[in-house]
Amino acid sequence: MKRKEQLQRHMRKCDLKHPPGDEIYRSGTLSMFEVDGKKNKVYGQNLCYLAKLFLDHKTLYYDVDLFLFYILCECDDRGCHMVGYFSKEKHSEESYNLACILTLPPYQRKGYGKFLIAFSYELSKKEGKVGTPERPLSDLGLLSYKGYWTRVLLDILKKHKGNISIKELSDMTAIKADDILNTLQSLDLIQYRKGQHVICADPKVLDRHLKAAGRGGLEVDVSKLIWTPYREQG
Amino acid sequence: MSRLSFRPRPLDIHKKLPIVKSVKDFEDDDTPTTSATRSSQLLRLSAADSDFNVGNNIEVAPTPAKKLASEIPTPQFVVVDTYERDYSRTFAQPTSYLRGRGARAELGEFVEYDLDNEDEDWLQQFNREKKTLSPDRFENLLFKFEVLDHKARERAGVITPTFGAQVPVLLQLDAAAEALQAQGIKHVVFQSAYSYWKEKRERWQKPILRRLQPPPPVNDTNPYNVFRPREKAHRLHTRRMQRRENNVQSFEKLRQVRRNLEQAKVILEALIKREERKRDAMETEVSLQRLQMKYKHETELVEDSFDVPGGFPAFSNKFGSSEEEFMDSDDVANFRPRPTSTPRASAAAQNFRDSGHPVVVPAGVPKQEFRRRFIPNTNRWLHKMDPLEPLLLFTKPLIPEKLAAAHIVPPSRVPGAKSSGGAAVEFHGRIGRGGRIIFDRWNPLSHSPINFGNSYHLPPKPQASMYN
Repeated sequence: MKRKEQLQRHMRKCDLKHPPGDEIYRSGTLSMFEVDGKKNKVYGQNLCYLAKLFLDHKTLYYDVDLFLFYILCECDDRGCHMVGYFSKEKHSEESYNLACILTLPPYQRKGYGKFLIAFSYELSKKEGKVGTPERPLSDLGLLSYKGYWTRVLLDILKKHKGNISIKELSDMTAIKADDILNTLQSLDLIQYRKGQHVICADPKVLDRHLKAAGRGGLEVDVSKLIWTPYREQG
Repeated sequence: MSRLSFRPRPLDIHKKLPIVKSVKDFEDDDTPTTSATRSSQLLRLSAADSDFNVGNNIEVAPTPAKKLASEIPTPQFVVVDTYERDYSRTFAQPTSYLRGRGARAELGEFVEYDLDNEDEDWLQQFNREKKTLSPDRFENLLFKFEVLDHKARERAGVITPTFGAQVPVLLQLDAAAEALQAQGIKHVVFQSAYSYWKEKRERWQKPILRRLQPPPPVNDTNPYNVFRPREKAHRLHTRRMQRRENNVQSFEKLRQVRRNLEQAKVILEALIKREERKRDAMETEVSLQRLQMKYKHETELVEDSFDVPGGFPAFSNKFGSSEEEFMDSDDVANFRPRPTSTPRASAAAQNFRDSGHPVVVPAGVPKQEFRRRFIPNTNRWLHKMDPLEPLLLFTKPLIPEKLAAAHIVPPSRVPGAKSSGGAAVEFHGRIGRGGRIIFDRWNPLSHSPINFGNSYHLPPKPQASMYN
């Protein structure tokens, strides 16, 4: 819509006040909508066009049919307003649980991006699969994910009693084992002593890392997630 | 210091690892890590003393951002006076989660088309004199045109799955007028709207309603074309995926593979045959050489039989004819025609006429092998060859100019050397083993000095006469 009249005319016709698709999460004023690229093609395409304005490395090579879009909205009495989204392949060979992620510029630095990352892992947990973001990661993406992985893993290590395997950490968090290893190794928390690997979890050290990783974003209340994993319709 | 920690060891992700919380377990007092990795060592070296900067790379990033903060333009906004009206507070969030509408597969009542700048400008122009057409109705008209045209194309069967050539406009004015009679629009107005729509369609070469635009083909390389269709399953290069395919395409590919393999088989069989022939040719050549060697040694025994003058013409004819004969047959049989064949034959004939001696087939160059084979086989005629001259089967004779150019001087005659006829011994130059130039004065085969004068050696080049 390049002119105001066009938008107004459209709004007279169209009474949709939220993204097309099902609401799958609502907590407080935050809502998540799941939009199928096949069912709402024009919406999906327009969303990709919009995202391309802010994500330089994004490709629009292929159609949106094979993607799901998870739109994060702030809701009030005027409607549900999109603040960010992430896209996800319906079927991923490399167990990607996130393709593109964007917080719209006016709403950045408020914790929505971290929320979106956390949400993508909650979906993976519900699916019973491990997940990882699509490669290659952008610089900012890598930073955000490293922060997320650090917070999640170190929180567990702080509280955990006894021994733990990387696989167990992966099962708990839906984070891929490679990502866990990379994170712990880059923080120097994996060492080799007395003939075996150990995880160093000195609370002081962990706190230092956690501080460096930054605050968590808005939290995902899993109890408010009402969702079944995507299934192809006949 | 645990040097063992430098060596990377594979980490079993299924194995439970002890979580070590106490600092006492570590070698160094305050630093939680030993030099487990080189990178941490570097970081430690570069870090400040107290603050442990493992998160160095994380903290670095915001700093340049802070520096750039002043350069990033801050967004401005303007409060629009129609805000409250446009975005009225009429949204009532239901307690249950919202459900999406069903996919609007069919083009229904909802007018999906929105006027763009071009349309609005045209409408404004059109309405300049009198307000004849409202934007809503115009929008409706354009939408209906698109729908009707789409249906017409569907009926005609010209819907393309991907964008190839331009999408044709099939909707005619009359058909449109008929269908949209109920709209209650004056025909003149209707006509103008229609012609505007048609012109726009022809300019765009595709539907103006986004939903009806076919996607670009999969193999389209234009970077500005977006949203190409993908096959159902995300196509990755895995062997797994290929196994699932069982359609016409893969059948055609297999057929092609089969054809290629069959052709390859034919080629290989022909190749084998050729190589076998080559081998046979080689073997017969070798036996020929052996025969020639044998005959050469036996020539002195049968030389007498040649001293019949009358025999010469016959022989010469025979020779000439045989030369022709095998020239012809050779030209057919040979893969590489001998450029020297004609000069050889003429030289042979000439020499024959000149010297009156039976002409011998010269010691040939390797390429001439095929030619020589025919002489003994067809004529049973033993060439008169100087038994004293070493028969060197595979060498070229020396060319004096080349020798001179290379500053090679043949050894001068040695006076007083022993020779059978008292004549001065001449040196016979040849190219010997390894390409060395050898000047013989001693025939290695017959162990007698070389007397060049009696040689009937006829080199292939026309400069043969020089030797005589």
